[in-house]
Order: sequence, then structure tokens, then C-alpha cells
Amino acid sequence: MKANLSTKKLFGVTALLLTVFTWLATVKAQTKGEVSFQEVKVMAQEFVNSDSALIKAPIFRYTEQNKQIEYYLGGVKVQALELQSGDPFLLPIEKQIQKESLEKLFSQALSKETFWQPILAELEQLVRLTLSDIENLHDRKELERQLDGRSTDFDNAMGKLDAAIRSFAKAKGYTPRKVGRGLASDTFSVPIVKNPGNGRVQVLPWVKYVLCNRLQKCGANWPWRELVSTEESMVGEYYYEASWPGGRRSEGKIDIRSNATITFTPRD
Amino acid sequence: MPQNGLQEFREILSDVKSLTTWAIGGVVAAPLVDLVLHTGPPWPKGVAVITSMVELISLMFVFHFWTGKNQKAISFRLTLSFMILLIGFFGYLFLFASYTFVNPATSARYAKGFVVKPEVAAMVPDLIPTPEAALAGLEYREEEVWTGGSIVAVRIVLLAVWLLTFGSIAAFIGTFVLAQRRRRRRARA
Repeated sequence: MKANLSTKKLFGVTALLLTVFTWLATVKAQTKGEVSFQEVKVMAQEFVNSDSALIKAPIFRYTEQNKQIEYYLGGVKVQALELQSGDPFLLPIEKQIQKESLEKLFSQALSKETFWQPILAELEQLVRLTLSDIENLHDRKELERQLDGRSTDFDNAMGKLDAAIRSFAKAKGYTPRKVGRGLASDTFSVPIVKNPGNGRVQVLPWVKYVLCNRLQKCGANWPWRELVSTEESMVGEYYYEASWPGGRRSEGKIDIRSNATITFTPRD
Repeated sequence: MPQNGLQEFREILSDVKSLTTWAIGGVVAAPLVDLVLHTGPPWPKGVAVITSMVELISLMFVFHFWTGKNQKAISFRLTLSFMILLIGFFGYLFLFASYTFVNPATSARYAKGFVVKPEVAAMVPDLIPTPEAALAGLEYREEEVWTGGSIVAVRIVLLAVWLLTFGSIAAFIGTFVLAQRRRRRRARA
């Protein structure tokens, strides 16, 4: 009986792996914009349902002891998708997988709440639009520009989700706390101050910045991380870009070697 | 006078433990050294227990295979154990200094690798001086700088040399105790 179950399980896993690889091969072969939204959605769901190792699992949990809601919006190990770093499909596939994994989590952890649903719907709509861009824009430069814009739209949507979770937590009497994907224990908890407070700060590990900026290896998808909490888990050297309404901005390198507060101010 | 072989082994173990305690302040050596000096290998987590087991197994081998040897053979093995101990100790220190790093946020120690990932190799030395310098710019995630296989290889070599060192310490002390007990027994007779 046990042997039968194991065989069944083995067949199941093999079948899933075959499907995933077939799909990846299809996506690779169809880099001219022939991938439909439905295909991307179905395969993203299969990745999520199989708890694929390429998913950075999102987190949403209540810690009653200190009245906190710990959360992490997850992500995808895009290197494992076997697509070239400049492949335009990388962005919509990554975001659809992230959306599906968030939906799976929220359907369980926040089943009675609805605040997250329109934001995830917006994410999905952005995936549709991105796939449509890939299909309709034939000029490479123009497509890159468009994908840059879409990438910002995705970041904005994730920012909305982040803000919505924080509002929800505060409304329920909890302190929202963004946690890292297992990295938090190996980092400093750094207080972040934006002065003025309405600025937007995003960081990139320094080596990734060199990789994207000097070696042009990231295409349109620079792995920015937006600093949205008052305390962030960080360690080592980062490149940062900070911007404020009205166009004021600052950028540069920061080196985190302690829990000292980091203050971001515009240069001018 | 021991009644049987197992009892004699217990007595030897007791002698070795007291000698080891006197020598480096530990019970079966490794746990205290690891904790106090922080020089243990960064992987795996239960290295103190593994080390103690290797020491015990090493002593069992000494007792089982070397009990019947003559004084000359025992002296040769004592010298051999000491040579292995010296080579292992300095070899471990070299590997420890060259192939481990400390995360500044937690002071936890991790193993490096020896095969740099292609994307990092493309930046060294023009854009980033060394792979070690790239660590700080990648949130001290060693798997982003070196290939997974080379990190695992370094971890295993570090552990192996560490165990070799402590195995040879146990063998050295065990052989010494064996020789002294034999000498005492001969003197009584």
C-alpha cells in the first residue's frame, strides 16, 4: 500500500515536472508574443500549487504575544525560470506567479477580508497589459521603455498592497512588521527615516547595482527593494535612490554595519 | 585489575577524559573548545556532538587494534598521531582563516566557496576588488558569490580536517594512556 502511494506520488511529481518543463520550453520557443495570458495564469497556478522551490513564499501571520502582524510579499527566484535576463516575458511571468502565491496565502489567512482582492486584480490586469505590450510592440527599444514603465506600475501596485496591509494591521490594533525571507535573522534591524516623510526610497545590494548598471545584465528588471517600513532588515553595502514629490531626489551608496538610523534627505 | 575488556576500555576512557580535561579544559575536548574559542567549523550545527563521537570511535580503534602491540609499535603510533594532529591543526587554522567569514550582524561564521559565480567573476577585479568584497555588496549571502557545490565542498573539508584533528588528539592521548598502563602493569608484575 505504502509502495503504491509512493509510486503514485512519484508519478504525480514527474508529471508536474514534465508539464513545467514543457511549459518553460514553450515559453522559450514563443518569445515573439504568442504566450496567452491564460497559459501564464494556469502555469503560475501550477507552480504555486506544487510549492515550487523557485517561489519565495509570502508571509502573513499574527503574533499575539507582541500584537504584531508579520508579513512579506514574496517573490520569485527569476534566475531559476531558465529565461534570459533580458527576456520580456520574465516580468509578467514573475508577477503572475507572485500574484498567485499571494492569492493562495490571503485566501487562507485573510479569507474574511477583501482589501487585498482589488489590488491583486490590478496586478493581474498589469500582467495582461504587459503581455499585450510584448505582442504588439515590435521595436526592441520601445518595448524596453514600455516594460520599464510596467515595472514601475507593478512596484506601485505592490506598494499599495503593502500600505493596505499596514492600514489593516493598525485598524485591528496590531503593529505591522515587514519581515525578510529568512534573511532577517542575519541582518541588522535598521531604523529608516525619510526627511521629508513623503519620499520614496528604494535600494539594491551594491553588487546587483554594478551588475545592472555597469554590466547591463538586468534589462528592464532591476531587483529594487522599496523601503516601506520604519525598520528594515539590512546588512552590507547598498545603492539607494530616493525621490520626493516635486522632483527632488538623492542617490548613492550606503554601508550598513550597525543598527544606526539611516536618514534619507534630498540633495538640493 | 580490570575483569574484562570492556571494563579496561572504561578505565582507559576515564584516564583519557581526565588527561583531556587537564589539557584543554573539556570533557571529551571538542564542545568547550568550540564554544570558548569559536573556532569550530561553521557547519553542521551539531558539530560538538559529532566531534565527541569521532573521539570516542577513535579511542575504540586505538584500544581494539593497538592493545596487543609492543612498546616500539606503540611509540611509533604515538608519534604518528602527533604528526597528524599537528598537520590537521595547522591545516584547519589555514582553512578556517581562508575559507570562512563572519556576518557582521550576528557574528555567525559561514563557509565561503572556491568557485566564483560567473556574474560575480565578470566584475572581479575591475569593478569589485575580490569575491570577498562582493560579499558585503550581496547582503553576506555566500551562495550569491560562490557556487553551491564549492561551498558544500569547503564545509565538508573544514569538518573533515576538524574531525581529523580531534580524532588524532583522542588517538594520541589514548595511545599514551595505553602505553602508561602497560608500563605500570609490567612494573607491578
